[in-house]
Amino acid sequence: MNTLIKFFTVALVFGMAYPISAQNLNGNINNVTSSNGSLKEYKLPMTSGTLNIVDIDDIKIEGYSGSEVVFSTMVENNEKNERAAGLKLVNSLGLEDNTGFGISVSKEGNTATARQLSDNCSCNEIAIKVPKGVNISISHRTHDAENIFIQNVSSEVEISTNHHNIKLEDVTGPMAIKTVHGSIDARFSTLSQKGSVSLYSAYDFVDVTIPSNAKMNVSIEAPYGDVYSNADINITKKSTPSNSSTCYSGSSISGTLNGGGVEFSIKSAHDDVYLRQGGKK
Amino acid sequence: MIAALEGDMGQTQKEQMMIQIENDEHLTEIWENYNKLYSHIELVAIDVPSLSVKHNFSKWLAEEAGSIENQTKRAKVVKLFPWRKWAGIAAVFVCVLGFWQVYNKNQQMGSSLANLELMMQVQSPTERIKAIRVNYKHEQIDVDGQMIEVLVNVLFTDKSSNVRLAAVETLSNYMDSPKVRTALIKAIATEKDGGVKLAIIDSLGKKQNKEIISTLENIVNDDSQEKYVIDGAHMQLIRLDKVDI
Repeated sequence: MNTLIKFFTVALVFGMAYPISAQNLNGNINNVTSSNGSLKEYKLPMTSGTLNIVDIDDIKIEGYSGSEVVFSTMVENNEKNERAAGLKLVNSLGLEDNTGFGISVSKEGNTATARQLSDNCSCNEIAIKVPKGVNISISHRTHDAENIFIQNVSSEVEISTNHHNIKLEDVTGPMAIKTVHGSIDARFSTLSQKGSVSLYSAYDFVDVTIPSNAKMNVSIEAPYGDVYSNADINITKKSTPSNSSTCYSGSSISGTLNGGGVEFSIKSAHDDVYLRQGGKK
Repeated sequence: MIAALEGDMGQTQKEQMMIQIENDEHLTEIWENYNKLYSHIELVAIDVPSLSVKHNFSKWLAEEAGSIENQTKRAKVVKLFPWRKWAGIAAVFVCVLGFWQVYNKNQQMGSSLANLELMMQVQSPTERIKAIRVNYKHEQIDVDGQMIEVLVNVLFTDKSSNVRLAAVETLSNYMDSPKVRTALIKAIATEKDGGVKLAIIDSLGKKQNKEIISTLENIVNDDSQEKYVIDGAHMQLIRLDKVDI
């Protein structure tokens, strides 16, 4: 009899757990209302795996030592669509706005996905606090892109976007960043020797600041631009301008820094590349 | 004069010489001096060696002859080891070294290939990019080999656009290979990511080729492409001097 009870108990627990892991996950929703609008917040328990962020126009990500992914945004009163009051946002993918600010968050296995449902998202910048052990993958295809700002993140970051300007601060790598029309401005606090680092912009500049002790095998390309650096890389110098930085002309430069280390690739296909060593800017 | 005194001169020549000597005081004086010298030499008694001296000399001569013979034999020992033998050994050594290098290179290539295929299965995109960057050093790759096949496969199948971009950038180092050019041209049609497509177009612009120009012209005339992709193709055609600005 006891065995039977145990069996049904286990079955009940699994039966309840399955829909949570396989379908949209309802996190905690908080609303703090002020005279100008309301701060909306959505929390998703997560300490490892990958957070996919899809088609969100304006993002600020901050790494922290918590155990939840926290999405938040300020929805101003004049941005609320009063006509839609009482109605649900309908999406062609069948996704639900479970955050209350136009973002659908779901989790399957070790991967969570946050997706913007509307082009006219009733929100400003989406701030996302991400636990240290969670990798971040951002993809965006539309023209409605503003900025991606990532701060204090030491897990793996992958970004593929067409129009975002990307700013990274106090990051360590590994990372793979690609934007077509946007710029990349990256400041590394330390340089991880895991994986690789690649920073690519097709039409805008790439500006990278690394610590003075960063060990790397560096490859820099600016086929239709110039490369400026004060880093002591073992490469061929083509010319030296009068200012403090050194101008390396040429489409392809490779060498080692501090004896070599992680594979570090920087490319601007049609603009300039700046590599600053030791936090000088 | 000396020949005449030694008796090595003919009578006629000697007579002619004597006429010249008689007519020249200086020559007469020299002739008389030579005559006196030869007269004194003839007066010197010749010592006949004793039997013991002869015996010792013969013995010494025999020893010297033996020594020379031994030296000759030693020289023959050197000749017995011919240069052809050394050349043969050297040739074998060179062949073994060559085979070892080829074997070693194949082992390394096989090892790199196995490593690369393994690395391309890992979840992390930055690890996959690292695998591409580390394994594809320009001078090491046989462009018709399996390493290129792996890279082409990455171009068509990897789920990360950043990894596909790394594949395109690496493949662009081998634009002389028809296999690479064909793969990149095919990828234009299947690639969904605009950034990767643009990188492919930039790579194609590195090589002036009839098929590439035709592909770029098709992109320029294809309204379904993103505007910046069309612009990119147009820019490459300008660089290849195939359209007017």
